[in-house]
Amino acid sequence: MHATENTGARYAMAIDLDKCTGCGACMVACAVENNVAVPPPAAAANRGLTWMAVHRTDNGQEWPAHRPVFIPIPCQQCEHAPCIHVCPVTAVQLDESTGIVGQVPARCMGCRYCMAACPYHARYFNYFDPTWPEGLEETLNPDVAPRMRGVAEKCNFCHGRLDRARERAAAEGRPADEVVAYVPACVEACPHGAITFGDSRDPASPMAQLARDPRAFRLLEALGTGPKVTYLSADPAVRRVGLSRLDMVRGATAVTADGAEGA
Amino acid sequence: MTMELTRRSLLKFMGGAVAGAVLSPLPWKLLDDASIWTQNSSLIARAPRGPVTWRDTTCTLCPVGCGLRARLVGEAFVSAWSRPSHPDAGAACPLGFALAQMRYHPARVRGACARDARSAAARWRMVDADATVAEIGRTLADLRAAGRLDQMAVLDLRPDRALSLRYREFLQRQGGGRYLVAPDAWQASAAAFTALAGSSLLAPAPAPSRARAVLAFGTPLADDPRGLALAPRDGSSGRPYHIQVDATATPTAARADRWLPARPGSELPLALAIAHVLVRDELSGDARALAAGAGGPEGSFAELVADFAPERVADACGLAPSDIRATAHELATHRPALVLGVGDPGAGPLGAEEETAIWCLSVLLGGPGAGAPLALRPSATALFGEPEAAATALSEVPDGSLELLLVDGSFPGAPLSPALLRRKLRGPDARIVALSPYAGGAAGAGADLLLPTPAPGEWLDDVPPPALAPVSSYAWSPVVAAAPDWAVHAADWLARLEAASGLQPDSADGSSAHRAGLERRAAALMAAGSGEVHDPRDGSTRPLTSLAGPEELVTVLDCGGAWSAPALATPAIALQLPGHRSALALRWRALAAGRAEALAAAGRPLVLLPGGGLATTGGGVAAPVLAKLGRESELLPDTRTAAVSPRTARQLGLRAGTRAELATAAGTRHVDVVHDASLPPGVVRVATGPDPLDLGEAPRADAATGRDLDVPSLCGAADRPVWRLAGATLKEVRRARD
Amino acid sequence: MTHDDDGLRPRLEIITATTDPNARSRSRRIAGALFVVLGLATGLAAGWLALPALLYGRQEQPLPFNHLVHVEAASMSCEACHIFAVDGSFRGIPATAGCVDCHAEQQGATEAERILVEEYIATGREIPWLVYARQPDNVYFSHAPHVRRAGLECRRCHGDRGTSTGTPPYEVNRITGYSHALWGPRIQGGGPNEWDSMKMSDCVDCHAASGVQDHCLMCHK
Repeated sequence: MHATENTGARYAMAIDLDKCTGCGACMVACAVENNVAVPPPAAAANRGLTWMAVHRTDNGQEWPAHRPVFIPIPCQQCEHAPCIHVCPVTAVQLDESTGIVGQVPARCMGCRYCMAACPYHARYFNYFDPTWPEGLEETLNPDVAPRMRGVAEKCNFCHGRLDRARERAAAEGRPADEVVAYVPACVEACPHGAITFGDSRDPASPMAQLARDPRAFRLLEALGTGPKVTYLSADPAVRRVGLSRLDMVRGATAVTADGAEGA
Repeated sequence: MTMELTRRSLLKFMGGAVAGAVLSPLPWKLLDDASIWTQNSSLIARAPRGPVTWRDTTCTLCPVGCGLRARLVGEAFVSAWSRPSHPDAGAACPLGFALAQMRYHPARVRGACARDARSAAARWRMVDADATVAEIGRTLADLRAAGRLDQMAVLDLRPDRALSLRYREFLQRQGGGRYLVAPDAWQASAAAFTALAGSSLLAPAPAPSRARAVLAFGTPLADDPRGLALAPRDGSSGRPYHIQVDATATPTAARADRWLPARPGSELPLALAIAHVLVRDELSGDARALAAGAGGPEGSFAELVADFAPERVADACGLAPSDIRATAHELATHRPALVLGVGDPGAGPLGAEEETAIWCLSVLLGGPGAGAPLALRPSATALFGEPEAAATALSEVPDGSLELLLVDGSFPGAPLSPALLRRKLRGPDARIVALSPYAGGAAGAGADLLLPTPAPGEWLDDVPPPALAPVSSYAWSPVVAAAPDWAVHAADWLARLEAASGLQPDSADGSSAHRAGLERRAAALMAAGSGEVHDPRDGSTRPLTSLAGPEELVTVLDCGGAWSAPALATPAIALQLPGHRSALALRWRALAAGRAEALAAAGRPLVLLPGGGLATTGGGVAAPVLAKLGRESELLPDTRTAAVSPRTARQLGLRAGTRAELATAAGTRHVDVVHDASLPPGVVRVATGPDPLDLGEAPRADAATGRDLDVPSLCGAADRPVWRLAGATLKEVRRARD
Repeated sequence: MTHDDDGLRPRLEIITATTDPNARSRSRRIAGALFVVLGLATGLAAGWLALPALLYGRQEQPLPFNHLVHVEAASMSCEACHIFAVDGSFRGIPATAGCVDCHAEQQGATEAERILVEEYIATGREIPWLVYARQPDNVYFSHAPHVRRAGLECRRCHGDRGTSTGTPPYEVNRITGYSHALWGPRIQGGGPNEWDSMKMSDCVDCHAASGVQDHCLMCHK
């Protein structure tokens, strides 16, 4: 691990899988917040844009030992993000002041290297022109720019909300280096309180405690990408899925812990 | 001097011009602008700009009525979020988060519409609203003149509102007609309790947070918005011990402390067997006293359950007798315990017998009484001091008996089969008129005529306490965005229909009269003087008596405030089992083998389990973003698939993705087979409700047209009030050549 | 050109009085140079003169507005109309509601005043001002950090608006749809003053000079 300057915030998320029931509130709230268009009905299911995707998997048993498991996977905001290194046009950057991996659609040329590089399948491509049923553009969020066809995009921890929070902090005269508190849309929406969000460098934040929780793990931890999303589960079967295989992700090839593509 | 205009000179000129242009900003500027142009395709939508403001309101997409905070940019209603300071502690579900999109739903109509609903291919066409109103008015006048008003009915999918009163008043003024309700699983559960209590002024108020244990018969406490509203908020250390009875491995079952994987349709014998153990082993101190009271003079509840020893019903339940005994003992050691029914709300009511037995069991384990988990609250009628009026259940209306049916479309996601509605019509000229914003959903899907009303968020409705709510509550849904010109308030349509039928309406302004009705209800609450008020203006909650008067309550409700009152602290009341004891005993014994047993005999070896969850409670017309969720995730069940367990699929030789025909006694439906390891063997599961993938008008489903039956009809919803199970076959079909 | 002149000439040649072959080739060279110069001039003119004139379309503001009258005659402060909202957002364009105090009745007999009162004040409609400084949709800009935190003066980016007496036409780039004011009066970008343009490079230069840590999502959304 190379040394990064230890200043600024590291916004991080913790998702308690034992609390998630797969209701989809986070997915809906995310799409509404981030102006994600509905693809044409004939489009394949894996061509949609789901910055926050709740994947359904299970403990591998049949009824009555079967237990459904839901794993919400937003962009993991890796500290050592593979997508940054492969982008030929520097359309992806790690913001040193927040730890958020930012994607600028206007700069993206649509090569999709980043999608191939992301082990979490958390990146999406605009296969279609972003169109909404007539009149629905009235419900677009002005804090997030709609993207054009032919570019990649992903979750950015609701940067539009961070912008609003920073604006307020500036208007209130708070200093520029102060870490502002805000919550992404999925965190606000979760009716089970399964998602926690905060600055992991702040020892007083719940994120710092959750990272030390014995139930905590990170997706494909062994890859060394340094995700900023922590998952919590007491179920060893769930931990096994998250740590070693993400083969429930639609249309994805399983990626094993050592990074090799398995069957 | 030569001035030769040769080709060469032209080339020289052009060369010079190019050189000149290169020395000017022209190519660079054009290149720059063109690259920006490529990024700003006209197909990219423009978000509204303007100052951001927030307006508090209440969600009306399902009866729970969660508090919502609408975000407006300028005048544009952009999104809706939950309200943590609201008494519901920030509850909201995907339906609420997509509320803003309901205004622009592709199925929304922009004027009065008509179609020939008997023909499957008939499309909606715009018609003149005045002519349509006049036509319906003539029908009303004719029915009145001929004394056939019993052939006219109003179906209200969300009863107990101020608008419901207006519908009743409309019928009264006509001089007759039936007021219909289509009880969903939650309302049916509450109705069973009301029958047991023998008073329509009392409603059950089950509060899991006051129980030490909860036994839930299929109640979707974790995977349905209405179940969530009932479930204790997570994170509290006092979470009750939760036992879930579910045929399949649902998310709620996975989160429960104990899951009883009972056979489908075995709720009644299981509930009675648990009661049997409680009575036999004297595990409940007051069991005998309560049970004796419950049985009435002709015999006690204890005698009624004597036949249901765990050993006798264990096979029907698919559980070991020891499991049933252990459950009873666990509940007894965790008293007071609460027992809940409802089942999967997507599959219609659980059945009156089941609900009765479940409530009796709940009474045995704790309540009703002060502080008990099963408490009581006043019904909506009692709450507002309004006259009691009888409502007829839609299932009690004989087929082929209605000439004119008005359907209220305020609850677009109500689980209702259009085919079921159409069976109630009398003849070829009989009409269903929907007062609905959508050409689809519960009201619009089966209608012939459509009078457009404002979409959710565009009109002021009131939200009475939902069925099975642990507390009494009342709120309004203040307008978030203005309704378009063509959308007319339902009360205004009623006033116009009255005028067109030759009656003198009280007031031509129906919506003002509706508003006055809302204010009367606020005044009634104020006069009763109990409970507290959440005021969103300062986020405070204070006693109702601290308000200056009804005007202040109206102001608070207009700001999205909410009134609530805890359940009544009444002593235990005597419960009266409905009907004659011997008849009940006979009925219970008949159902003791479980409902599935009876079906298997009919040569249909599979048990068809309909089910819904979110798709049903909110799906009539799902917001575009929910259609996206349905398409791009596996979270919403798809009505076009049938799930079977991998083992059953192997036995039937059905690979995943196979096109198959699902057949029941009622008809057939074509489905794609999917494998689902959460299902027990021998079970087929299909999602009820409208297809979350379908953004537009729901496809016409009608047996007469030879097309696929909709799922409730397939399960026999038109023939049986309880259609949670059906015998079925599933066979591969060859795909037709393209 | 590799081929011989003579093969191509006859059809286009204009016969002149001079028959001297030397003189003819000299004059031909001069004429050739003339064409090059002519072309050069045309190219330069197209780039420097025609392009600016043709590239921008003009739209008139819905109403004329005189800052000076409001500041001097009505002695209003800038903050009376250009305010920060509670949530920290800057409401650069005042709402019609803010005009009501003085303009509930017509102030003078001009046509514009009549339109203001009848069409906007009376109906409560917002005036659809065309905002010169309107940034593209993918730009995030907030006044609060610049004005409140960094203490920049308004004129640093907007110039002396407070003394303007009229509303110049809103010029919009016909290709990009962006306001001319973002690019600046010079066709090559910018202008003599710091506030003449609001391009990304202007933002970046100032951020670099003042040591602001930059990141794409800081200014883009």
